Amino acid sequence: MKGQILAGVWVPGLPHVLRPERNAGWATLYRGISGLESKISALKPDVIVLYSTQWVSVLGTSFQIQPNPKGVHVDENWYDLGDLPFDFKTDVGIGARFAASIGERMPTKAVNYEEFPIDTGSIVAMRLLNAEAKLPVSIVSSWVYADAAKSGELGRIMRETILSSGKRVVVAASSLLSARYFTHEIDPVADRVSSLEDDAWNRKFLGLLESGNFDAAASQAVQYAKSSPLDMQLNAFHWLRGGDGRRSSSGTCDRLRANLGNGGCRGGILYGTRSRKMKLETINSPRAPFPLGNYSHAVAYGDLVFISGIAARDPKTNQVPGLKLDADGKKIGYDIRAETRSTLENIRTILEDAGSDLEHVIEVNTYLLEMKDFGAYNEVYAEFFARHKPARTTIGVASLPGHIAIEMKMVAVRKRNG
Amino acid sequence: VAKGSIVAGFLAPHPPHLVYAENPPQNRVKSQGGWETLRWAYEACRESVRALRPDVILVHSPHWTTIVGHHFVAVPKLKGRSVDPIFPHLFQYDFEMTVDTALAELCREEAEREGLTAKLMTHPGFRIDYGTIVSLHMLNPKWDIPVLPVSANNSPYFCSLETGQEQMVKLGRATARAIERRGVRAVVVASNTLSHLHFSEEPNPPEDMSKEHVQSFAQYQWDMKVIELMREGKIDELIAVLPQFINEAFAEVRSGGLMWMLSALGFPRTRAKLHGYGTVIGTGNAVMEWIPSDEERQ
Repeated sequence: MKGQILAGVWVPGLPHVLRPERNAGWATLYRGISGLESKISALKPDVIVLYSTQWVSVLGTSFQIQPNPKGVHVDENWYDLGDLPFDFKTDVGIGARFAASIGERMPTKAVNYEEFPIDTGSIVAMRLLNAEAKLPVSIVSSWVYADAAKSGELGRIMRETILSSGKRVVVAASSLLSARYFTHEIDPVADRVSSLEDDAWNRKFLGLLESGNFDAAASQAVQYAKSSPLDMQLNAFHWLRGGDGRRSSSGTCDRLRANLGNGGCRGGILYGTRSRKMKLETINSPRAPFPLGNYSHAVAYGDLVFISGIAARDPKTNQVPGLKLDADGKKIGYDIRAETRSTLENIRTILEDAGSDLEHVIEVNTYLLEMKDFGAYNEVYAEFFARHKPARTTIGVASLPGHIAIEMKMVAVRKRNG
Repeated sequence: VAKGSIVAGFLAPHPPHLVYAENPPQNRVKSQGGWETLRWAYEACRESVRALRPDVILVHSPHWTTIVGHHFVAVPKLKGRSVDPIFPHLFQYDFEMTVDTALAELCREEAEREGLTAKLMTHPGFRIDYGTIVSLHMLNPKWDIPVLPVSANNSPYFCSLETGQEQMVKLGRATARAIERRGVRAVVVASNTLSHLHFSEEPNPPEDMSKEHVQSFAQYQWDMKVIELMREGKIDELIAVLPQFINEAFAEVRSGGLMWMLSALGFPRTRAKLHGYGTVIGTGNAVMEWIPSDEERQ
């Protein structure tokens, strides 16, 4: 089975985020990141692949393959914030595959040593995204000699490896944005953005991510780096961009401010979005009645989902609810309300399996065999679209396949953040 | 308490390769040797340290990087295993050190008098960086002399080199005053490589010296130039050329250890003794010693 990158996540890997009681901005970050854990869990990934800018390597890129790193880390800077216990499982297999595939094209090492000093960025990210260590992780170092091109190349090769691995993967970057710190002690309560110029750049960059414009973000990163000191030259972004292969699509970017006085440098962003390539993807839901012709339940292109014409059928019995046939198989009665309800339930199932739902439907086309059924159909329809009212067209048609009285097709967008 | 003094300064680079090559009992990883010229240089330093009979060795390491201020370890005993995050296959070292915490407190006080942000690191679970451990091992593998690790404030990197150097001059003065007040004979150690661009791949085995050479001719020329200035005691010229050296040779002395040590020694005109020069995966390393004159010690 082909592997998948289910989502990309960006988190600031500073222990301040674990002390939300000390600063409102830290608390905002904590709440935001904590919410990501359940979203990641819902995606049911096999592994989290984590790139940490605080694990700096010299001899190329390193991959952690120690099966069970555990211990208590004390950060070299922020030891006053408390111990950082860690105990997580490593996906040794995928780490070794990364090292092998990368090793063919650039320097790399697989790292398997007891008491290896796991970095703060990795520990903080795991504490927030995978608190109970239910998911295995594969940690990737930040090569000190990598530039944007090398980091992107690293991401691209890792993406290929993920796809060939058959694994369902969430990729995570533990990195700051701008990295201009206060150089004197401050009261944590008073922590704030220290550089308005950095803040403006951070916001501009986040805005590009929010609109899904990764290409523009990448081109702006050059100027961004000239204006603000960036965490490892923003290589985590270039890795993530290469890693999920996106070019343009919608994403979700929660901007979170008040980051230890450095314009997001010790704070930053949370970025969570489904990361699918802009390519055609056919969707057939095993929970919906199987297609009766040569078609798929739906086709997705990026975040758009196009649902085929769907009709009423019980997925278990394959019968049309309310339909009455005589001994010769001739239609003698039907229930438009039951058919409408069944049709919409089937569509809802397909939408869910496509990563969307009725709340994200853009357009509805309904085909009625009898326009006299409009009122009853409309009443049932209103039960499903009580608040959200997509654009809709209802047409009377001369005939429909089989014995159905109604068929509906829809266009929807995928839900953000899974 | 008698007035303390600095009895020597050392430029003591910290490639873990040197410990690995020596095969000391503390390191779990074993080698077939290698980097002999640097290790022989350190043998001479060890003899010098024994002869000087210092009460404490202070070491400034770039691998304990602090963002807010200058930190001093103030935990009486630190013990553990240090695995180098960059070269874990070479360095898995069991260390045990005694820290002069009283000197740490005095250093903090004096640093604050200089207007610096300074802090005592008092967490008993603190992970000492491998740079500190390597330099200290190479100078005193018995670990029978108390030590004081000093952090490298990150200001030369995210503020400016000038800001960083100004801070190190102040920190050096503060350190010297603290040593005087403490009444100890101290050795100050700059744990720094000179030119610092590495190769990204290492030979197999890493100690295959047929593959070891300087990363570039330009780096080599720079290393020789600054070594010569130090050997001749031309400190003013050295200070003047340091920014260009740092930028062009990616020199690790940017992190401040050398400037701190020279400042603590009062920028001595004494000729530095070169114990040896060698490269480690392409970086340039000089092991050097300054013995201040009686006048300079005053």
